[in-house]
Amino acid sequence: MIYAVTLPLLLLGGISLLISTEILKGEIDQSESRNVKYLAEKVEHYLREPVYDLKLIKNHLEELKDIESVFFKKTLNYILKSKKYISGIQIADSAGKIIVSVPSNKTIVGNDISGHNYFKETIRKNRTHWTPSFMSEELDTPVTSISIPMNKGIITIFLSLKDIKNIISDGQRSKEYRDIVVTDQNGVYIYHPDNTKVLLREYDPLFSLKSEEWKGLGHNKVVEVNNRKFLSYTVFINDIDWMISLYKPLEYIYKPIKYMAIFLIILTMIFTGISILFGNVLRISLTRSIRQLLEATEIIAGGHYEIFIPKIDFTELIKLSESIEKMAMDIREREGNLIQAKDKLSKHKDNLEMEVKKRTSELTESLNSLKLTQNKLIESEKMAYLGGLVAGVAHEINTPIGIIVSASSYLEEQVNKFLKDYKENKISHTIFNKFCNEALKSTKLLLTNSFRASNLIKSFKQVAVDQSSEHKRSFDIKDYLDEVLASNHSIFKSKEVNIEIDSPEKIVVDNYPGAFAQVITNFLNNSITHGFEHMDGGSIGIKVNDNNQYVQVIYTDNGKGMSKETLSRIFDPFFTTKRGKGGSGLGMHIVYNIVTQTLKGHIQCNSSIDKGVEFILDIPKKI
Amino acid sequence: MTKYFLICLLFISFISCDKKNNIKVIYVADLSSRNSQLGVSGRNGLLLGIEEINSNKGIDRKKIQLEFIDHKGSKEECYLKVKQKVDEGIDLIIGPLTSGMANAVIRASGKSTLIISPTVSTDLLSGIDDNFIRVIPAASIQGIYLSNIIKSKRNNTVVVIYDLNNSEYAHSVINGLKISNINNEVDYIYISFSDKTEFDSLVTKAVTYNPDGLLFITNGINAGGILQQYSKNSVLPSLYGVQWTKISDLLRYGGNNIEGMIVVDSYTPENVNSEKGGFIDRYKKKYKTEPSLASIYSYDAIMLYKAAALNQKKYNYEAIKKEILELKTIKGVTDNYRFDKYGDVVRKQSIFIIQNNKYENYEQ
Repeated sequence: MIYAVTLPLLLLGGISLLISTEILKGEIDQSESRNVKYLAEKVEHYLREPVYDLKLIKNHLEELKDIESVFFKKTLNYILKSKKYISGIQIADSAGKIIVSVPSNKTIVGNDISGHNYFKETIRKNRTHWTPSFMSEELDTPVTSISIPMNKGIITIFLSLKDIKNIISDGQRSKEYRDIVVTDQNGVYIYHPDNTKVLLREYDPLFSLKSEEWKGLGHNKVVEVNNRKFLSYTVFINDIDWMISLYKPLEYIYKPIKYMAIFLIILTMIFTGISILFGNVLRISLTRSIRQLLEATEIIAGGHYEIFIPKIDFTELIKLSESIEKMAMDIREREGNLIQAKDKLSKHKDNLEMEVKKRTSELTESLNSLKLTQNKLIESEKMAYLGGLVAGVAHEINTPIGIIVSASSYLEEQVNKFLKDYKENKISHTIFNKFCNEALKSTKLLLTNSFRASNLIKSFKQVAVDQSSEHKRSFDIKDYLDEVLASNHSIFKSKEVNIEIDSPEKIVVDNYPGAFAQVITNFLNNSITHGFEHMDGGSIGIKVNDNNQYVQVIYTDNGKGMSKETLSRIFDPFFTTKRGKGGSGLGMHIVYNIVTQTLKGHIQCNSSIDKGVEFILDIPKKI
Repeated sequence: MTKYFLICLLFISFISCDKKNNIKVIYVADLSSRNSQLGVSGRNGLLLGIEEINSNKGIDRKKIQLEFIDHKGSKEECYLKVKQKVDEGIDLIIGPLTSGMANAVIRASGKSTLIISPTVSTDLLSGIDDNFIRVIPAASIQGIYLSNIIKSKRNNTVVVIYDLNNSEYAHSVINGLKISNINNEVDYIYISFSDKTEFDSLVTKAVTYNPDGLLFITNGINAGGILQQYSKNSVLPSLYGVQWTKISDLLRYGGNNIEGMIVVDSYTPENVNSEKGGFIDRYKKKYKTEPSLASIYSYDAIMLYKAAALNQKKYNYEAIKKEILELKTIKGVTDNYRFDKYGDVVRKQSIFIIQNNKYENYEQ
């Protein structure tokens, strides 16, 4: 609130001050410029006036044509007496020898002034010449000489500069403080408020600056002398090159501005005080009215629509109170309507709840039925898998058993024949050797195939036990992979498949081996059934990496791969590309469930058409 | 509260220190009498030097505060004014410019303030270990130089006109003349004058000797004035002048009478130490005239003080003087110079001849 009032006032004050300063400075500029020009005119007049006397002397001499004439000398003496500012008149010939000197001085007459600048310059320029000032011992004041050329020499008047002081004092139009200085063409003071500087022939320290940069422009500039700042106005007198400068201390210029600033600050403070007072009265009245309106709204909020608002002073707030009263009436009417609508809504809600319960019950039943079906399907998938496994194993065992049977029969036949020959004493050395060789071959066949059968049974037993028992145990992943491959050997009989296992030794996992075997078996089945479909064979790689807490198993084949769409749905239940051809669509779904739920791991599948397939399993070493 | 008090205290001490740290210098010369030309031109040179020093952060951040003492040619006034300033406390006196005033200034200084004189060259102050230092060689050397030239020009009778107001200087030059004239090859006749002497009677006396030469040990204004009168009475003989004559407006007051005059000095515009050439240009620019030897040696004087004070960083006269004497080569405006153990300067002198109202180098 205070800022809102004071800031604009201060801003306004500042702007006014700036404008006033400029106006005031402008006025001072004009006034002082006029003043210094006026003084310069007076000084110039003083310096130029003797030129008329010089011309008079020159004309007179030209008329008389006799420099020694008594009348001419009388004229010179008359001029000297009548013109107080002239301290002497001198006429020199073209060689610089003084011919006439007034007042009369025999010592001077005949002197050679050819070395003096006023002689040299007047002759050289052939026009009026003012010399720089010099001290006159007789007058104890600065003097200048003014010379004009004539036919055979020069005429010189010595002009006392004592009166410059009076010219400056009389010519000042205002009594305000300022320094006026007059300097000659060398910058030496002719007039200075401190007369010592004149007597000591001191130089104006700003002379060089003024004479070079400001010449002829009548400049006003801020200058600094002895750490004090002045506004300086300078006027040059043409031809003579004297300068009249006025120095006005800046502090005198800014004094009225300072007073104005103080006045403005006081005015701002008074305005601010009054504004704060009025603002407070207004605030109290406004707060009271708003509080009354607030109370009324609180009553309305409490459900009481018959309200009374006391008299308020502000037109806008009166309108607001009328609006609040009308609003109370409207709310009461709408509240009635709302209660009716609420009743209707309540009835609808009851009906809706009944309907939802009924539908929910139906849906629950459907869901249970679906789950049951799913479990049955999973079970049948498992059974199918086990059946396949058993069939495969039976087929595998059948071959060594057949060989065992054939070898046993053959051995039996050979033994019987040998016994018969022995009883008939027909055993020769050759027959004995042949029998022994046959018996050894048969025994070897029996042993080899018995071991093979035994190993197959052992593997099958292990896999079968793992898959049926679902017990957690520690197993070496490499050895176990070998066993799983051995037990699934039958599924590769139709294809020429090269399988490579790349695994470090002794990676022991404490997990569910049966589940793991089921996963690998499913991969193998899928590679044969889908990957190598319409292919004579292929390659399968199983790479095992030890990743600290996890074992990573990367299963790859170089089969036909799958499309992006198939890949995106590969783990979906009941998704199959062999619908009606024996595929249930649960194989990979089961794999997914086994990996994530039983093995507590992760599975990822990468594949594209004709680029094979890659399954990445990450299985915790210990769960 | 204490903090603000301390800050105020520091500020006040800073201000007072600052004032105390100014180097107070007085310039002692005749600045307003008829013969003030020398003093004024010396002051102008000194002012330029001080301006240069102060605008370049002073001497070791101390600004030079200059005050003028105008003795108007009066020894008594000179003594009293200088004494008053010495009692008030000053660091340096530059001046006086004439040998006649040297004793007054030395007495007033109480031998406790350093005096550097630009142009006092009297032999009476040579060989003394005191507080007086000058940047101009002893005047007797000028006498020796001039005497040799006089002998070479075979001038047998030479009238020596000298100013009693500067008798110390005059006697030093005369001493030089005598040293060089042991065999009495030249007959020197000495005529002195004072403020009360009429030039007419002086000239009449000189003319009676019908001299082959006139030698002036005066300022240029008086030499010019005497010659003006002499030329009215007789044909001018060979003319000779000392440094003082040359540097005090001889050309202006002598007119055509001084053509062929031979003078001793150290400076012409062509004879400038290139490293200090800027001074001449600045002088001409500021004062619209050529600097005289007084201007140049006054400038040299303050620059000498600066060089010594910068090295020494002490401002009592013993320390500064010691440092000045230890400076091996000092770069002056006209030439490089040095001091002997008594504080007497050793620098070269040149001979000039006036031709067409100008100084030209004189070759024997």
